[in-house]
Amino acid sequence: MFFLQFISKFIKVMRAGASPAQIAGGFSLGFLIGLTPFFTLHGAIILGIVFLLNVNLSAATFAIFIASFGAFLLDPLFHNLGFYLLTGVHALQALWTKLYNMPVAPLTRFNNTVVMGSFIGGLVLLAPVYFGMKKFVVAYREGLEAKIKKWKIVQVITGSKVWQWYERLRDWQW
Amino acid sequence: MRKGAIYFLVVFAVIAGVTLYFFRARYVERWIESACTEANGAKVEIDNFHFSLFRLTCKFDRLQWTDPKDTWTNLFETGPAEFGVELRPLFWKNFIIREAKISQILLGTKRATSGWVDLPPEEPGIFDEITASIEKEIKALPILNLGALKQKINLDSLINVDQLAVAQSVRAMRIDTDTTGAKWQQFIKTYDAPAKIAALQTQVQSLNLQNLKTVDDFTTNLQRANKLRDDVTALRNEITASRKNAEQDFSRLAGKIKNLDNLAAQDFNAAKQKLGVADFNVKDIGKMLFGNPFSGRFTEIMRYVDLGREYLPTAQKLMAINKVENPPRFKGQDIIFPRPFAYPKFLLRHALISGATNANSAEALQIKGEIWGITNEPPVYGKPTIFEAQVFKEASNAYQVRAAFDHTTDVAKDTLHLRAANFRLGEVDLKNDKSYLPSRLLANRGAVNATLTLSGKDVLGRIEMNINQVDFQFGATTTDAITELIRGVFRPLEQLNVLIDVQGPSNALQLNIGSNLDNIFAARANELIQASFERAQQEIRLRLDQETAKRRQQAEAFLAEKQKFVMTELNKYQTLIDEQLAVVENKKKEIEKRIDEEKKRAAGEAKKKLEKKLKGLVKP
Repeated sequence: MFFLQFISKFIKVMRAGASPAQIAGGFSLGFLIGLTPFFTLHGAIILGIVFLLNVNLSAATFAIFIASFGAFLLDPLFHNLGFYLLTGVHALQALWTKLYNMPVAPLTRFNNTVVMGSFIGGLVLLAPVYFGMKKFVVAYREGLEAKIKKWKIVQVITGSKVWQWYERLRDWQW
Repeated sequence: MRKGAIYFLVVFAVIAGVTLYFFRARYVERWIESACTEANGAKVEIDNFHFSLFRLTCKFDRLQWTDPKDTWTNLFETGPAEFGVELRPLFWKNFIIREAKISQILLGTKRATSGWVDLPPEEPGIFDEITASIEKEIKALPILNLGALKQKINLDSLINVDQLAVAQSVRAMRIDTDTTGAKWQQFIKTYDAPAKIAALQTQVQSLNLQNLKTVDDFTTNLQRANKLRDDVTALRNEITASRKNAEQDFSRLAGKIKNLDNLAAQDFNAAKQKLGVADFNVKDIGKMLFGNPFSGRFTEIMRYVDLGREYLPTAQKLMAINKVENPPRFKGQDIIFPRPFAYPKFLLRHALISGATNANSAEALQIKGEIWGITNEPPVYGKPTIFEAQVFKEASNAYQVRAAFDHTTDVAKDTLHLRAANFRLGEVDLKNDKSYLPSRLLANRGAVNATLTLSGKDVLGRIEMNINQVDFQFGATTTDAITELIRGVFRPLEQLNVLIDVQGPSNALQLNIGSNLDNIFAARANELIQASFERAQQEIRLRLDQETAKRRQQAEAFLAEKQKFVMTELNKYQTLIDEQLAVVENKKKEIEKRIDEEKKRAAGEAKKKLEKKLKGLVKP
């Protein structure tokens, strides 16, 4: 139910309210948080930035969920990338060693292959995701929504009993 | 920028900070309890833990460390303790205690609840092996059967003639001799050597050297002689091989008779053991007297050394833990970089301790000392764990104990030194259950110096004790004359020096306990009981010698009888064939000689004929 409410809120945001840049900003930062393992210092810092910047929080939360699920599939890839960066690039060894010996840096768990790989992967994808999302919001508002509503999968979901139950509860006068 | 978000984050940080502040002690307590429980394999509990966030100091009222082998007993528990934590290592999640004060340590206290936790069992340490091998050494000691010394030995009940190894061997040998003899008798019966020899003899005689005239006669007879020689030689080889086989068979049986001496020695030792007059060694006195009390103390000390080993892993063990061959999926792999100031995960730099071995016992030993460098990663810390303490009883003797647990390399090296001078001994329970040995030792003062080294699984220990004004006490009074006689050997001594050596791998330790009492005892004992020992042994030896000799004669006679018939026949064949071979050889030589003569004669005649013809042709 929470997830449906979540999608519903996100769709509402897509339709109107926040600007495409705010939605894209929230989505791309949420995407970065979602890709990296959650309990890290830099994860908390980025979450703080999401709160502080005037980006859309629904989009960020939605992106965290989406990216977290996607990360499960990409983790082996991130492990290989992180392993290469941490051990295979000779020029970076001095930097890693220095960071490793600093008091706070180890709390970011940068020396973990998946953390390093997913964070760098997320940073690389940050700009494409931002611009891609911005374009998508604009296109959605200009008529893509009507097309999407005609998709069979959307019709199946909105026609399902769960969705109807959700709508009843949503419109209930408490 | 959201202004509201700033307020939200500040409020969130304050709430988080306050929550952390109020629950910090509980969190740290649980973390320590869980880490220690996992390391111990049984519950570790802390009462009333306090953690000062600003001063980074901790204190608690009580810590209970369950004995994993007996979860209703604490291995130790402590009273109030206080320690300070270093800040910098906490950033790497390393818990370094700089200075600790732990008081009222008590060993072996009872628990109100079971300290069992469901964790995989630890690998067994070397303690069990050491205990087993020391017990084996003590149990291997001979027991004197004093009854046997004073009574006339009943040899018939002691020596069951039929069950003697000698008798059993002779029985088996008789069957073997029978079978072997029958085999060769059958061989002789069916062997066609006499017929073959007779046929060859006829052929040899038919070689007539008188009628040889022509070249053909010579050639034919020489060929016949050669063939006959080959036939005779083949038969001779056959007979010789059979003879050798027979000889080997009978030699094997004769060897068994010779082995009867070894079996007789075996019977003698068995009879001695049965009677209880096994060889009595001077070294055994030390073990008999001090073996039991030593074994008790030694295994107690080894238990603590073994605990040190269990809780301080070696480099090899740690490497095995940290070895990540296939990193778990989605968790990644932590890459370790060099650190100029590496910290172990846990380190207690220095602790002042005080406590006792048992709270409710008059025998409790008080402990007061210091510990340096307790860590879960000795190779990272790079220094051994040192324990120095004074162990003493209230208003009594003090022992200086120094232990070093060096687990910084692959092989653990632990050393323990124990020293005490001029300590008061009083009464020592020798834990002997033999009536002829003292059950208690009374002494005034003494000194002890012990060193124990464990390198891997090898143990090397030496304990020197010098005790003044020693007397011995026995159990119940005895009316047995022999027991009384032996007890008389243990008279008061001005000085008793005991030297205990333990060495070898933990599963096969060798224990030697020597003392100046050995020689004194040996001298006194020799006078009293040696004669009885020897008499008993001589009686057994005599009886066994008689039995062995009787059986040896029987076996030898039986073998000789079987051997005689077979070997006589085979020797006869051998002689006959040798004779025939000689005759053939002679005849052959004779033919060859005649051929040479004929050749010379023919050459002379030819020369004369040639000269005659040449005479007419050449004029002088």
